[in-house]
Amino acid sequence: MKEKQVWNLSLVGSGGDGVMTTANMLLKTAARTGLYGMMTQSYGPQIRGGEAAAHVTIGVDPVTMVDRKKDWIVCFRFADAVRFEKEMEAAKNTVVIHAAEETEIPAMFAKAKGKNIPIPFLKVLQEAGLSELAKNVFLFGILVRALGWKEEDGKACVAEMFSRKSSAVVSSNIRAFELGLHYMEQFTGPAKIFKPKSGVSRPVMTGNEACALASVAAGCRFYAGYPITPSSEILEEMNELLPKAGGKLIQAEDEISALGMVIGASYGGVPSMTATSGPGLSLMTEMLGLSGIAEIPLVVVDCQRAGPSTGMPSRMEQSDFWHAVFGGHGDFPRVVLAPTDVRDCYQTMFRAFYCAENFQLPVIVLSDANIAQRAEVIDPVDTDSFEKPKRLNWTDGPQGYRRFGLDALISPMAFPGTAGGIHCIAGIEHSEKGMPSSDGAMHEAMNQKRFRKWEALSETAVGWHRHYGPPKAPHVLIAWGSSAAVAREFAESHPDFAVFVPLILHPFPKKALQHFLKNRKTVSVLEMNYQGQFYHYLKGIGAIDGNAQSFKRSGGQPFHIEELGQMIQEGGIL
Amino acid sequence: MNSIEKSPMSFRNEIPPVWCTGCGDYGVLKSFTRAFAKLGLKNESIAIISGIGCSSRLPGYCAAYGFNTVHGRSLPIATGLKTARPDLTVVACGGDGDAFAIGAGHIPHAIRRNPDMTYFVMDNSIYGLTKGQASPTTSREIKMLKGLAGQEEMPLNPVLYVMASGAGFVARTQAGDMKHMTEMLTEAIRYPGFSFIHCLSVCVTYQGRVFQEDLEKRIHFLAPEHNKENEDAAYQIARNDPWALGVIYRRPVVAEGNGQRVEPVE
Repeated sequence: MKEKQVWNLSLVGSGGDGVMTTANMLLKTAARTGLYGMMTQSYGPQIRGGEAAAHVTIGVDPVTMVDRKKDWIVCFRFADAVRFEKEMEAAKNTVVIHAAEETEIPAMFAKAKGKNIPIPFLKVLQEAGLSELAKNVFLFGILVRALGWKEEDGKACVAEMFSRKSSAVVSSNIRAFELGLHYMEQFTGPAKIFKPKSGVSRPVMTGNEACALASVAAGCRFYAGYPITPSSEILEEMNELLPKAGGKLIQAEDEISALGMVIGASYGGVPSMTATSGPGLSLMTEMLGLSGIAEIPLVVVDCQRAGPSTGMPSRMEQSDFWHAVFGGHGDFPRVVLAPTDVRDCYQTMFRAFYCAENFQLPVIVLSDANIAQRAEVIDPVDTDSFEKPKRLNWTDGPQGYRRFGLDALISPMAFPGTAGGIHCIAGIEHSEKGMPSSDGAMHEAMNQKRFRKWEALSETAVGWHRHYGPPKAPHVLIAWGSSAAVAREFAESHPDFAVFVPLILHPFPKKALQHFLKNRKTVSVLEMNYQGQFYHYLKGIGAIDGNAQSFKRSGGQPFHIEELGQMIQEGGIL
Repeated sequence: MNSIEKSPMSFRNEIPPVWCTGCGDYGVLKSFTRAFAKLGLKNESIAIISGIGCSSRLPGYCAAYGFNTVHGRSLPIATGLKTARPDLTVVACGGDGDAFAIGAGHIPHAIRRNPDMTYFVMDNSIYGLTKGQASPTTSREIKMLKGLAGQEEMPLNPVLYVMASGAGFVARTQAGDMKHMTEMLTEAIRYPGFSFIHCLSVCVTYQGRVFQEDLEKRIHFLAPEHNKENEDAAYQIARNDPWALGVIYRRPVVAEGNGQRVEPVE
């Protein structure tokens, strides 16, 4: 196993310490110098205020997950660090930087034998005539020195970060940066020197930002949403992007209304979406059914968090799967897609609009708290090869208009304003022309029509999955969404394992999986929910057999590689 | 606008309504078509969005785009449509249960957003489609008389509710007076902002003759001296006179024509 060129750092602070800014600057500087990286954030249950941790991994190759074992841990107060004990582990060589006032080193750092660097932050800043507020930039200087990065790259990043502030603020922050840079020299040389494979600068963004950017690029021109963690950044981002693209946005009074507005706008012929999390998806369910029966395209991004009810708002889980696939009364087709990382959000949103617009049905994108809010350095995305959304619109014809003609796979939509296409639609079962119908045979025919689209869609969604590992590896792990990273990481160091990652979950690429599973010895499904929702789904549709194992647990923390190793061991596979 | 007025019948399709004989909704339907004709609208430029209930069937009988959505949600869907397609004439409609029970939470927010559309509520103070349960506007007397659920609950005042939410155009009419309904609708649709019409109507099947006679006795037109641009006067009517018909409030419009806008609420 080739050792990965990565550096893992955790920054822990409380509200006002600015650790997120430091972590962001670090990631941006990595991106500027041609390196890759990922940053995840952890909060307590209160979302705003209180303790927070930023976990940053910098690497020469694309970073797929943040490692729990840390090279460096920086904390202003040990009490804050202890709260994140489960997310960061001090290894033998871990360097711990902490405020000098903190003397009692907690047990979680017992293993850290690297270096223990107490820094009197306040004193150093005061002596230099700087405000305590500059603490995080001073820290950034320390880290830039530790990584052996160029001073000018760090400075450029500070200047960019404070570009909206006055020149006095910029210059005092630059001074704080320089102070940190030189302060570090007395303790240690560079902790890690990276050689980027190329000096290409890459974009840094979160999954939520990627979803918003991709949606507008895919043609979305209407957004209605209600703020909810961890999806709110999509609402905020769309509010920036849509007016520039000639689109409209409404912040709704609740999620029922949000998806109602999306249906209204889409009925008007405009590609439309919303984003939410589990509690919001629960409220939106009545509108999913309306979209299904009235055949109105829409896209919902569900940034899953731990449920049920309010659950753990800032923590990831993959427990909305059943709701996304089965939620709602009656039968109606819907599509469920799942990105595995930030970059994936791009193609996923194009596909979401492609499925919704081309097949006139509701599409749910299952993101999660992890993908939604983590920042990644990503390779630029070329959207040219992506599926293109295109709605079949009705233009005046000689025949009477039938909105739901049974003879067509996809019936053209005449939206309001189209002369000659006047009709009335409803959430009520209808005839071909949209007239209310209580006829069982018509209901059956319409259900067949609606599900024919879904079957046709599953035929066109070829290759909407990924696989890793040797074709002859005896053991297969199936994983989706952000949990796919750990399976992939595991397989990289275990050649007996191959991984299957579906990017479309419903309709599921059954044929592709069955082909992939030929001549394998064991199959296991990895997911983050208590009931094994995806595992049972795969069994139900006959994609896996009774010998397959379910690797699962509730959400809260991302899976880590040792944990997966243990599950595999306990499952008797290794 | 066309110089030759279209026939109201050109806004009706061939579908016979399923309403009970004598239902007030027939009159409402006629008034809709008359108002559309009077305004010289193009059929395809109209979208009527309703919820669920007897009265929510109305869009199905119009020769206009229609969307009979789900219970209580006509306003979000209409707002989304109007926002995405400002070129359309959007009218939302439904009954008192649809509006003031399941859909009540949407009303203040639709009003706050002030989309240029009309909301027409047919209020017969009963759930007709589910056969006679009390609605949020059913009086305590009727609930006691009929032994309906919720006898301790006070009825809601629709006009006061929309006034308090900041609606710029508020009118009341009644389903037995097509001329007045048409007049109110025409004015409401012309109003450049969110307009609300409270239409008193009778459910012939579940409210019956006594209710109708009572209604006919009590209703009256607003006094000619009522200043509809005076918000305080409008609040007085809203609070004290649940039977007054006419434009109760019309917030002055600053500029007409393309720069049309409604004065903001302070």
